[in-house]
Amino acid sequence: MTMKSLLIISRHPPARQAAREALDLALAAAAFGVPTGLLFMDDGVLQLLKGQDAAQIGRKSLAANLQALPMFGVEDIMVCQHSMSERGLGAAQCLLDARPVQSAEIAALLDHYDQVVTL
Amino acid sequence: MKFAIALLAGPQDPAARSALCFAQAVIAEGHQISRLFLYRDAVHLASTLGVQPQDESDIAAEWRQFIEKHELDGVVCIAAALRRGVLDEDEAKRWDRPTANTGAPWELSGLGQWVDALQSADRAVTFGT
Amino acid sequence: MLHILRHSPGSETRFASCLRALGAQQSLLLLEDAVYALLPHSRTLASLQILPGSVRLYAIEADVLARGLALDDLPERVKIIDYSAMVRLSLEHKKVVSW
Repeated sequence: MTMKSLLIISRHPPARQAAREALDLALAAAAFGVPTGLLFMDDGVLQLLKGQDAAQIGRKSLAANLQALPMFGVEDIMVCQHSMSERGLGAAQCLLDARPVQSAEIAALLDHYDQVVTL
Repeated sequence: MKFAIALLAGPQDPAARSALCFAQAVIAEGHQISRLFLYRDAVHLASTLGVQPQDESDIAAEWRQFIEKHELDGVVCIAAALRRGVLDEDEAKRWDRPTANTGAPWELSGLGQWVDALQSADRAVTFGT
Repeated sequence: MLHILRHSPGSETRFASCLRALGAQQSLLLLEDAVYALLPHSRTLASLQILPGSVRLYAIEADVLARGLALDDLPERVKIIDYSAMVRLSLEHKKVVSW
């Protein structure tokens, strides 16, 4: 059986339960040995901001989960450069070393994966 | 062809109906649905406790009838369901809750079931993103 | 690749993101609130019209009618389809990406 890769595009700001649930799918895929790429886009890039204190609003911080991704085999972590610029953000503000992807590259990137799931 | 269909939005979202219409069309076109997977707020569709006004459609009931009629594999993410208070008999007992609100034809299981469905389907389609 | 877009262009940056990610040989299907992008004279319709001619555009009929858009007002390049056609469309493409 040929193993299909899976790309998960995450787009919810971190205060939403949906943000955690997107990461959970990435981790589940990695646990099953599925080569998994992660592209942060739109408000999803806000998950990468350093200095979040989610406990202030009764949430658990996602930082630890994000930083654990490479350990669980999710190594291909990318961020949409356009979404970052739109929000005035730069790489220095990210808590993860995500590869910036230009808008023109995204179509080819989606093509590269067998399955694309947007969360 | 084998389709895996995931739904992420709840009964109040138009996606709950779009996904059902698409699933019905998959069967009508002579294809198979290898798995239906409910995640995020879509887990509420597996609850049997919702009460709709008589002149409004009951999308949760329509989903149940569709799955029963075609004997489909309908899986509800257990973690998402527990967080939102959608429990079957076993889970209600395990967590000491006063009632269960889901059961057959839906089955509570892990996210791995979605990963597995994505791997083996000819086409995977997600609704309610 | 078949892109499926369901969000209203006014409420989300995803509409713009989807258009940015759309390749010239790909297809875009509008369903649910995304059909509001087809409102005549709207800016979003203009942005769809300037997509390369090789991009194929579709919309789900029930969603268009449910939201009060007249089929006669829609541009010719947008093909109005039902769910059976959507199933066939998803098989004609190598994969389906939902936005």
